[in-house]
Amino acid sequence: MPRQRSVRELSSGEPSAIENDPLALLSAPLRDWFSRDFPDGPTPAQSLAWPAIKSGENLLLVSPTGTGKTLAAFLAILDGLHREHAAGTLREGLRCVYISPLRSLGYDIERNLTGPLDAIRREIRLERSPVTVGVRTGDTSSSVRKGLRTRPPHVLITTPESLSLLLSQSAWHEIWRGVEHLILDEIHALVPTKRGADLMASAERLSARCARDPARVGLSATCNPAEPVAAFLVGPSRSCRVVVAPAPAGNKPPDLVVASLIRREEAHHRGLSYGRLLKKLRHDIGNNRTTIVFANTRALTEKITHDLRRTLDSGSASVAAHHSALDASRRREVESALKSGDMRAVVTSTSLELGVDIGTADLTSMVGLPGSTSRCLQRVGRAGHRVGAMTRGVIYAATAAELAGAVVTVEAALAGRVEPLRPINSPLDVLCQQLIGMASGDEWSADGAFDLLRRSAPFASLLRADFDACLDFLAGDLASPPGAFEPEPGAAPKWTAPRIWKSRGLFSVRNRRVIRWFWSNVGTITSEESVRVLVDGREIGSLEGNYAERLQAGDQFVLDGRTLKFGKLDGFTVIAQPSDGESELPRWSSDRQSLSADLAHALVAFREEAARLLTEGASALRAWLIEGHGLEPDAAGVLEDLLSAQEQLSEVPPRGGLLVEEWPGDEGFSYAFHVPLARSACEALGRAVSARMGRRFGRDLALAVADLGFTIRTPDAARICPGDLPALLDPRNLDDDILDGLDRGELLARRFRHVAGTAMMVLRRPDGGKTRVGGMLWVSNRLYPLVKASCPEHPLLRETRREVLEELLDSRAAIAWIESNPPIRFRSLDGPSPFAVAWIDASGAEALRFETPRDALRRLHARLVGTGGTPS
Amino acid sequence: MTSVSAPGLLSPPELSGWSLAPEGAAVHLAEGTAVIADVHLGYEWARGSRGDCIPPHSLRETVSKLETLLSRVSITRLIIAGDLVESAGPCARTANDVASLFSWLKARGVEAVWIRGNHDPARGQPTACELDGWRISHGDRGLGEGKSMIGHHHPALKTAGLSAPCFLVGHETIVLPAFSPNSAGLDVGTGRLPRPLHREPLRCVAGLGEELLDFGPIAALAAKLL
Repeated sequence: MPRQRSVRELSSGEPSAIENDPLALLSAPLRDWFSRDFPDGPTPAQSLAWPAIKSGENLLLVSPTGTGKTLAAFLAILDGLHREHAAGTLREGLRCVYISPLRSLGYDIERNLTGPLDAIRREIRLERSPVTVGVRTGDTSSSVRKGLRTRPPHVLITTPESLSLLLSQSAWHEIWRGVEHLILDEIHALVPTKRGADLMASAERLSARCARDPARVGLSATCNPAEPVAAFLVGPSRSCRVVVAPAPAGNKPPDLVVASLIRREEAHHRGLSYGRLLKKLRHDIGNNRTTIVFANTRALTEKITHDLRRTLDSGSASVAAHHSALDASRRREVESALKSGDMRAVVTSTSLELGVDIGTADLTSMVGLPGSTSRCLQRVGRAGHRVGAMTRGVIYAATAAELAGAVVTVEAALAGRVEPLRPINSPLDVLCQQLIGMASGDEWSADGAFDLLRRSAPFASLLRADFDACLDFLAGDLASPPGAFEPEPGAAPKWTAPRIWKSRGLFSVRNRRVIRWFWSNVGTITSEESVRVLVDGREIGSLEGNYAERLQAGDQFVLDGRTLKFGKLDGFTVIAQPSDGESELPRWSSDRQSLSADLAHALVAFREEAARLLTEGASALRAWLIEGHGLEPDAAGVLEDLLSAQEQLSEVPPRGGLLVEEWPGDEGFSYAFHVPLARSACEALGRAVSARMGRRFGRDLALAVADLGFTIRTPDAARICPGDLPALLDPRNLDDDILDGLDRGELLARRFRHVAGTAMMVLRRPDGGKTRVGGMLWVSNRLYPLVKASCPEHPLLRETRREVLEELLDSRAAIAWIESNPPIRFRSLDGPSPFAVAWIDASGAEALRFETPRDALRRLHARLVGTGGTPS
Repeated sequence: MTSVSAPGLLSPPELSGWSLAPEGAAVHLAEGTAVIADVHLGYEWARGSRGDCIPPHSLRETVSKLETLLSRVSITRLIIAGDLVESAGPCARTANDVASLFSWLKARGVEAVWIRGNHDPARGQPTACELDGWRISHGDRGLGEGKSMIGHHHPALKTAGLSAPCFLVGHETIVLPAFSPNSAGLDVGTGRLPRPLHREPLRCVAGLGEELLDFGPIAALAAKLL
């Protein structure tokens, strides 16, 4: 662990002159400019950060949005450069690298720096600022790129992807030498991600090229605790000062409320609640200067934007959509319109969650649950993103379950119970990409590369065996398929296009083509494949691949302003029909985010307490909901009705325990398992129970996982009874059965696709540009089994399993709960219970295969052709 | 209905002389000839030349399927109805794979006849041949008149999570499934058939390597599958 010192109080210990007046740190021109532009003086974040940065320490600055973070990070560095200029010692050359996970944030920062630099320039009466700033992202033109290389700026603003690219170019090797500061913005967002692992490996490579180890400055939103983020920033061998800045005086706690879109004693009707949502949003927009609407998905974002445009008094240009599928220049247009206050509202999926300064927004409206406390606070922080402003937010709940989820989310957010971050651990696909990048610019010793990577936090516990396996794969040396047909042994290579050569402990890239492949495929962001949408054989647009994968026959979606009915997904093509149905609404409740473990536990506690109070009488429950949780009487009634309907038609799950409900479906039975655990733990348990049921019946099953439970659909005649439950839930060998349940489904194969892309086993942008027909689907359907057969312990297969078992599933929580011997109840019903409908949405069910393909084809034949038997 | 003539073979009555084998071959027992299509050897080398680093597999899979076919029927000639290879571009490894396949067949007393498909390089191969009144071609230039056997379309019967390569069979038409499992496949149940295949009603005969099942007229499949 890094050595850390926390400074949480402004005035701890002996107050020095600097702590009394942080401006004393700055040279006269900067001090004069600052006092004039910011008469209230520096924010606590700035007062605390400047001395630490001046002293050259590594620093993690944790501060809420709207506390002047940009100047907190930069001003002390700019001051140093200006002092050098005054002394006549400022030379050309790169001195500070700023990295933002958001491309648009980079431009924002550039603007935020140009203003002060220009003001300081006027202060010292110069034609142009002595300190130069440059931006390098994927959008940068080739002439600007060349300019950056031939005359590097003092401050370089870039993204993790562009940094990785620059590090792989030998022309840049000498440029890094003079770098003294590395600023990493929004670092909390990178801690759990592969992109973060990639960035920290790049940072280590950059540091190794500098004359002196540059000081790192990490900027983070509220994180709890801060220590893992600090460790992530500096790695195992450096120390880091942690500064947690209090909110500036005058900043009030966020004003956050829940609003219900449903009323008591009305049947659930999406049209009705959607109509109410639009009405409330129009009201929000009318009563605020600028409103940001978070709609979770791209489809709903488009739909709401479209409908608001038609009905807003302020005109159709006053509202815009912002999501990642929009053209980058369009997004920037929307951002600057927001900033200048020309826009009344923006509807976004998640793309405005992080840092871009959006100026005067004063309300955040969330449609559906944000999923976690940190996301909720991040979203609300987008409004009032300036010093001294009040942040206000509202969560709109469209179902009773969302209502309960919104209550616990708001309470956790107000109490500041931010989820702890789980740092990513040695992702081998990122390692492969980094190794190719390293090899592209230089010849490396394997030992040196291993030692360097281990200095970065994400790879601090990387095993040498894993490192060597990745090098072997990249060199094309891993095992060839058993029983391979090789007429002349050794004539054919074991892998088609090895990336590196490896000899006597050294390695480097094989040829220029590999370098070109690296440059055009750098990055760890999973660019979702898009699928074409055909209506009557004509292509009318495209959808995100993962959205299309979740649609089921009959589902409706909006594209290009038209309502369509989903027919089927065939490879990369969606067959759809025009829909004339009355419902023009996307399935927005099924697009909800899964809850963090903390929020799921809070929701269970909320539900259990509500159920207990209901046994004391409806009035006790109502009082608790209205007075204890601030719900409107009608919203409280909605929850009361849900609970009493569940008691009437089935029962509320026992405290801390399991309720299994059975009901007949079109064919076979459905089983809802109500489990008091978050989705990741439910997924682990659901896989294991499915594996046990599937093996017993020898038939395919459908598994749908949600927060607080899962459902399993069985084929005809496959039925369990209460006596089967102890065996199905036996804690022994649960681990093995979780893996078996994973193997029977598509999750591993689907994840492998992304792993293979990040490791550049398969290029997302292949040579020759266009993605081939069959594209990445081939990777799941063919390459995954091929690699499994030829090399079962391939590092990328192990990475796929690690990602699924460590990041997606929470086996430990599932096993711990099963071992606690929870009470179990079983109910046989006529149809799904109110709780099953409210919480466990079966629309995303995944088929788990227990039949051999041959048996499945026989069964299909029997079903279609109707002859019980088959010729054999 | 269909009758069975040899282990695993299916002999639709409208196709006198021809049987269908689960490996994806049409077999003329009297002529000692099997016909396959769309082998796509060198698929991995073609991907490799565009930057993918994957394990070679096509030759091994092809030989192993042919081994099963030869254990089922006795033939002296194998007609490859086009797209023996994935890419027409010059590739020494693909050429090696083709040479290995041909010498493997020769060692078993089987003559190889390579009909040129749209993926194949021009090596002086014929674009069609005749057998027992049937014209065998790749099919990328349509079906022509009379009894025709083609490949090219990679027909497959697809349903949730299952994709089985299939033959399309009529009185004058045989469309062969792709011999290579790397092909995505034309969905015969709910997809649109290319125009040349509209000339007569076709039946779907599908299998996953061990047996073939007759799924009846494809015109009726769509309604049952959706």
